[in-house]
Amino acid sequence: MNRKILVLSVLLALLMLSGVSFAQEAAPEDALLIWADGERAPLLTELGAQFEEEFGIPVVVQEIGLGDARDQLLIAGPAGEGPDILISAHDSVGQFVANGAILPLTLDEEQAAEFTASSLNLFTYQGQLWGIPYAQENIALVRNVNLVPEAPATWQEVRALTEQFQAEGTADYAFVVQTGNTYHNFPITSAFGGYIFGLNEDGSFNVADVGLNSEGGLAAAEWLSGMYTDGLMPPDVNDDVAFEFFTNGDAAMFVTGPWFSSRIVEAAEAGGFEYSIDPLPGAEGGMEVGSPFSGGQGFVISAFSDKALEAETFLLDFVATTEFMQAIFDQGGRPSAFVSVDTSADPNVAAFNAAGANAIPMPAIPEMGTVWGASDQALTAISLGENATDAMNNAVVLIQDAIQLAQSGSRVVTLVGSLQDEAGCAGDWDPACEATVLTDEDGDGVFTGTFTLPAGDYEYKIAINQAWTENYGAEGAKDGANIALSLAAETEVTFMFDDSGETKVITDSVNNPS
Amino acid sequence: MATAAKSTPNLQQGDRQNAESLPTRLLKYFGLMILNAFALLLVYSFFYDGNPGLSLVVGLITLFVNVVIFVPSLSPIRWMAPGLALAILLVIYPITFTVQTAFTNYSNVDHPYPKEQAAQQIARVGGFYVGENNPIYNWENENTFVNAEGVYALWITREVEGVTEGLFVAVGQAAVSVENPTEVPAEFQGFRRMERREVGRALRDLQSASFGAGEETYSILRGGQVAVAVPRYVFNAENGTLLDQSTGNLYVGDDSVGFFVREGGNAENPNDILRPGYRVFVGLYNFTRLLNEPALSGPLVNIFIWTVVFAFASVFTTFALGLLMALILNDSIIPGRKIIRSLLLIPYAIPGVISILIWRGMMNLNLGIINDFIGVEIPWLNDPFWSKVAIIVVNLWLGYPYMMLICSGALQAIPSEVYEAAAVDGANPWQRFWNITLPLLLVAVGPLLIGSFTFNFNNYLLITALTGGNPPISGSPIAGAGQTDILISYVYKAAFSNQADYGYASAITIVIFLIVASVTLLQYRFTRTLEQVSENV
Repeated sequence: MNRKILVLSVLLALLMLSGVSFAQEAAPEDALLIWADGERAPLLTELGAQFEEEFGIPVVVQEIGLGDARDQLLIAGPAGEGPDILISAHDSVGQFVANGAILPLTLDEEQAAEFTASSLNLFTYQGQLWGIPYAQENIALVRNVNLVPEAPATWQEVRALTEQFQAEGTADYAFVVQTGNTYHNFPITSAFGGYIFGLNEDGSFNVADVGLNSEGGLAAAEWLSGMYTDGLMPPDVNDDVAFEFFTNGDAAMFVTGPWFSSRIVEAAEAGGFEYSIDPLPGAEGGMEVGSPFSGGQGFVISAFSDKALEAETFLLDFVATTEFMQAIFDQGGRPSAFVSVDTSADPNVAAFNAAGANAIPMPAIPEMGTVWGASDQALTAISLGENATDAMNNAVVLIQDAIQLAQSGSRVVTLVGSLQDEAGCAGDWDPACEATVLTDEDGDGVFTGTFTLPAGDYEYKIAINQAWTENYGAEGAKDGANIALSLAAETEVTFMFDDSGETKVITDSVNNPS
Repeated sequence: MATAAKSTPNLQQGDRQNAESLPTRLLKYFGLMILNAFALLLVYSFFYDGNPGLSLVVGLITLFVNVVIFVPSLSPIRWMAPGLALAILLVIYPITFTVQTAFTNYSNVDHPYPKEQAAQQIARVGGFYVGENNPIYNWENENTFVNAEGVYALWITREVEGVTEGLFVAVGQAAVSVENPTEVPAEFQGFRRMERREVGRALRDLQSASFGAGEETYSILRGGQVAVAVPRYVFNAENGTLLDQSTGNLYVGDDSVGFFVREGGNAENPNDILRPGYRVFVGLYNFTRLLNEPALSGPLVNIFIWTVVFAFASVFTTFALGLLMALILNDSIIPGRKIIRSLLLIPYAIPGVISILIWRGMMNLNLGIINDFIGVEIPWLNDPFWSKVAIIVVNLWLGYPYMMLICSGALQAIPSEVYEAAAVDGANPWQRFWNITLPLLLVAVGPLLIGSFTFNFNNYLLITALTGGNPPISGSPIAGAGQTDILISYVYKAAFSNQADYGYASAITIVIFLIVASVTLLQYRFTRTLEQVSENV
């Protein structure tokens, strides 16, 4: 009896299993799956139906936040449950590419001409296009014309204006800015000549050159610090608080982006004042105008997708058309990346675009994650009265540490040996000594250092990353013998360690005169 | 005596099972069948989603449940079986997984996938390599053909010095050059031109098809281009190497670093490795990194002290206020006790995150209602000291109703004779509270206070939603580490502020677990002392 029931139950279980898995297989297998944020998802579902009608490919849209999509893709993708297409902010592209998570795209000249050059630029990484942008944006200075009839030309003027306001009691503040927010504070940094990363000759970012504590970066930090400590600008301000200050007339100006456009129009009507959207002020001793960051959103193709060609068709033949771009623009909030879209419905688009004329593309490189964290922290600290120079220096150290950790290529090469105390170290054979570190200025893997040594017989080796774990000796051998060096008189010796190949080369200017 | 007592219920159990009516038993087996079906489905899908470990665990659990139900001698523990099964699945397995992850370099920065998946992603992103001498043709979706046998063909064109050349390539047939490349006919050599919708549905087949025959096979590249091409990267699963056909370089999987490294190249040189890398075991690397890195030598000590202070202060303040309320409401002379008690429970009933966000708004320096009301500008969320006060105040609001609830219950349980005896002995109310109520109450609620302590020790939601750990600690080596960060929120920032670094995060989690476990152990010691007190009463 018992056994019969057992057999029966196993059989039934198998039957149900096949039924359930069949049901699972049948549904969305053919469809193109798109991940979109809450705002875009309903629209895409609607347009997706149109795409199916035209191209015979069904479209399913899943709602997922822009911020979550990045980590989620790496989990869902390998499991075969990821999307074929997803919406992404352009600054995620670098990390996506490093993760091999999205596919490159090719536009022919005709198609490329339909996009603003700057928006395509945002989605280009390492010389290759990775996404189809639909929107681009930058922040601008929003001004209450009744309080400030003429746009200030420099941040110094903004300060003077605030002092005047407070003396006359016109308003609490002339200007407020989001506290501890690098994105909104960047126009100030750039106006004084500061920057995030310097540029290489080929136009790519040089992550070794962090410009937050450059001369300009520090001048901007000082300006901010002065505003806060003198009570000319309030701390603890976020987007909503800044807007609130502006709406009730307590602040005459603030910075924001096109996503506040309709709210600004409403507030001005309700408050009975006129507003103007202007380019950001420059600074005395700096730039003529401040540069905001430009950012963008677009569609990318998942590299986990087995429907790459269908996804490409969706992007190139359906998304990159005026109808689609117009629909997504009409939803509001963001200037279009597509040239032929009619933007007359939003009166502020032109003004925001004008403020973005000299916008700097927000770096899309993976290192930006650390930059936001460290720089936001420094800006918050400044708003709380911390010394501006210290705060910025701390931030830069943080960023450099994180970048060094992320780049497996960076190695510390130290000359170790009996010559170390003569070269300025506390003791001999010490791999942690900073004085005998060899440097690689041009990044080609060849490390050099020159030291003046008194006459004598010495021995030396090369240690990597300030420990004995990895060290090289005679003939570049790993854990090799000590290299002897005899000096008859005080000599200036140049040591060289070639780390670029599998076989290491160690030379010095005495044993191996060139 | 003991053995007899043990065997009797067993006999009864067996009897009862035999006595089960057929419909009951069928119902039971039917329930099990559904359970098994779902479990098998899970086993199946976990396995094919590349999670053999999880698949195995679910399989073993199902087996366990079935054995328990079918083996009569095991039937006494069948009531515990669901609990045990869930404990294994939701507690033991994640712990094992976390411990295992702590010894790998699994991170979304550089090592997000297993080896094969990494190779596959490199190959997919690499796409096709078109040899230097192979011309690239353009293909429009609508210039796709199919014949009666369902064989696909493409009509492709290219410009050579202002002249358009055209080819017609079908799967398995040599390419034919066409005379009028710009005029695409509706029919060509037994093939007919496809409708747009038809092409759409065929795209997946076209993507993997090779057009043409022999050496000259054309593939569809990106952006509507077609050419004689080979995959750029070829993965050899047997020896774990990737061959780059565009350069001839061979990339060998180096399992000590988790990258494909160019043969003869250096894993430390970014130009010699292919990204993404893959997951490998790295031994104690994550733990040594934790020790060597500024993360630990940095503000961790401060954060640990604040975490302990916060957890103790939260338990103490909420318990004190909750007890006070409970004592007051325990007195029958208070009118409308039930209504008051219900009202006081409201903070407990509202979802925490909502209350916290409202408090955050009220505590805003510029627009907050609290500063407006008291007329003093207190930097609630910006000052190292005041932000800590703010956190404890908000947690008091969120936590006292719970304490009030459990104290009310425990107060009822204290026998009134004890108080009567005390009254006879001439003890005043104050003495009665300190010598009777509090010790007896602590015995009952002690374990709950420990629970509350451990909960607050890891109260991530409160910290993140109220201050986000701010204000920042200046000079902290972890971006965003703040004065009000507790261990758990600090760990989150350390591991996830840039990109999800699972291996490192798991290592820190293990360290935190050890800290919390030892604190809890100490507290159990403390409650044991309390229990001894109660035995002596």
